[in-house]
Amino acid sequence: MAEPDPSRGARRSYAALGAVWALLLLFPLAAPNNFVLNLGISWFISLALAGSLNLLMGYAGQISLSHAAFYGLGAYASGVLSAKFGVSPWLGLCAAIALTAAAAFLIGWPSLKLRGHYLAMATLGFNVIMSVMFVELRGLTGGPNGLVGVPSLSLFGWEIGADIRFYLFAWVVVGLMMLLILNLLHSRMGRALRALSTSELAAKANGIDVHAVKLGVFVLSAVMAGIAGFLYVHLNNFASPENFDFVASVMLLVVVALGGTGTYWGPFLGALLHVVLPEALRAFSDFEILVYGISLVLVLLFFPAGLSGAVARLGRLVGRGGGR
Amino acid sequence: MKRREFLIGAGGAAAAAALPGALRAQAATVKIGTILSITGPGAFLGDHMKRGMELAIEEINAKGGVDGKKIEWVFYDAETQSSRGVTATRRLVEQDKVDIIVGGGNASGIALAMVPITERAGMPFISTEGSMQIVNPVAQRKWTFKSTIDDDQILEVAADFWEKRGIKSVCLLADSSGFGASAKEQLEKVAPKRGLKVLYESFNPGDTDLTPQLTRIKNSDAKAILCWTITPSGVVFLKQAKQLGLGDRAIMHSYGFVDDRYMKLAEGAAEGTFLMSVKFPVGADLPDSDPVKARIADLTKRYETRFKQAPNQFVAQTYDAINLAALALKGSGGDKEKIRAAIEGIKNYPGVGGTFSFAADKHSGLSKADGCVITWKDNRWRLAA
Repeated sequence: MAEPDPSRGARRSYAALGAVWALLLLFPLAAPNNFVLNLGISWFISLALAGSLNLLMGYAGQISLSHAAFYGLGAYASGVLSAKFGVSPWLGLCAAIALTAAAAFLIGWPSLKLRGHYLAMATLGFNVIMSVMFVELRGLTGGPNGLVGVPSLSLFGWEIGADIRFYLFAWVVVGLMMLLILNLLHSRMGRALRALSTSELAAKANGIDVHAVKLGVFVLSAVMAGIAGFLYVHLNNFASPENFDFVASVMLLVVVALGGTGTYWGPFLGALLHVVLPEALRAFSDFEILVYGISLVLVLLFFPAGLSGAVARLGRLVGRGGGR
Repeated sequence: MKRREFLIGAGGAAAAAALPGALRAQAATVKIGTILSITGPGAFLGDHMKRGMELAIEEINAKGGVDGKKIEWVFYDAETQSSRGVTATRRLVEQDKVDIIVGGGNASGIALAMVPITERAGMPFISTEGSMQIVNPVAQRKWTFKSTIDDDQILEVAADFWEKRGIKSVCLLADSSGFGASAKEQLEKVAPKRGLKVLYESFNPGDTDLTPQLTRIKNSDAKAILCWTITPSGVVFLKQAKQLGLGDRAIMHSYGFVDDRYMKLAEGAAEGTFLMSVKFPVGADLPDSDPVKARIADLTKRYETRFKQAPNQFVAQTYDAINLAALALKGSGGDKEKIRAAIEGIKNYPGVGGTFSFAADKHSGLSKADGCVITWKDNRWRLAA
């Protein structure tokens, strides 16, 4: 074969994901206490959010400004059902998935037919509407003070509290998500995605149903955000509207851009920075936000391809040096 | 072994930050953890509240600390975001391993987000935030206490005020935030008991025009209008009520509006406004027989010496909370259950914000006797006659 086997790259990605996920299983042993372990859980949730947004933004080239709204919709769907109506969280998960999928379909259907930034505008509007709903549906959501009394998850009579059990649970759930994304990228759908992000016209000429592919990815990424919301609400037993507002959506865009848009490993690094940096900067106390902002600007200034781009560049430099 | 080291490296700064915490733990101190918002929309409140705590801790340590151990204070900024409050709470509970948490981000929403974590961990928590939900239902709030006055108590004070003036019909003009919603909920319980006829009107926090609501109120027989908000809409209320000729009714505000800057913003329209409050802003007007009077004067002097700034009631709120915590820590030897039981056992503690009494079924320390009605007159607070 003259051409390099495309499945070789895929095999390497699967192996890398498997290795990373196996290492993550050791993290609880290294974590000095439950707080650090919980940072690990936060990382899983951030990764689910950034990974799914990256699928849409990095691969399909569509900007969504309502990722946090889907995150919140998932959180409130399961949270409200279990806290106010005593419904099992597992049924809540089904509701979260159904609701986010339906909402994404309704917004995506018309706006993805148009070219340009219509999706960005429609999703921006959607996020604002959802923020208002979370606050104003006071009887259900608890209003501006937030939703209290959300139960923890339990499986076969085992409570999944905010400790090693939740860590393992998130490890499984988010692991499946990342595997799904990887599968998708190496399937016909993934190639179609990459084709349409470079040129929709060329993709269409090659027989790709551009609208259907875009809509499918949009719905999928929304559902993943909804599942992340489900994890969040049962981890913290609480949801509050300001976690899911428009600013939070923009923050998620920043996380993806920081990690490296359109690279599989970008969200891993972006989520790591998103979770660890604010905690590491606690020592600066009053200057925390300032230092945080400056470090974000520096990364974007010097590593325009994000952290994964920087790592790749470093890898190439080292590789070249070793080759000589 | 090597892999383990690598993983610790991967844990990165978070794990590194844990190290000094572990070292500190060996020192003979008692640890109080605090979460307030000193950045974000809540920053104005948070600054005063933080200073109140600082002063209390400095004083206690200067007197030798608790059981001869100095208080070590671990402070985190919640940035007025409940998600930051939640991580900070975990950090206090799991990593810093504090003996008690005092302060819940100076927003009821943040304190409410913290409660599930502290309850689960069995961590005593004295909230310095307002919402009654923080400590209710008590059966589910075994470890949670609060150093602020409850809405039902302050509304009883309002009912007394109305009764004294022969007012039977009033209007509650509350904003749609949790703060306003809670007032409506409580007044619906208090009003029938006190034979009050209440007209309920509402607006959104931050609204800049209240003419429709005020016109309806004008056409009603409400003789007093009680506005319930912490947003600048309350200034609009004062100005428009004057403009619409509602000056013949009693114009009132809640304790959330006891802020001289708001009064000055309303210019002349604030003159004669009645506000529901704790006694702190009118310490000098209190009768000498009121034991709180001397305590307020005393704290004001110390606070002004230390910070070159006049204190407000929020300072009193946190200053008292730290002292209550220190009281509960005394003799506990770090046993959480003993600390919790000690708070429940506090009776008639002479605080600056009022006299605190807790019980197994009462986790909110202040009561009706600690509230009063004050008025804004000649650019200062006075006790309403």
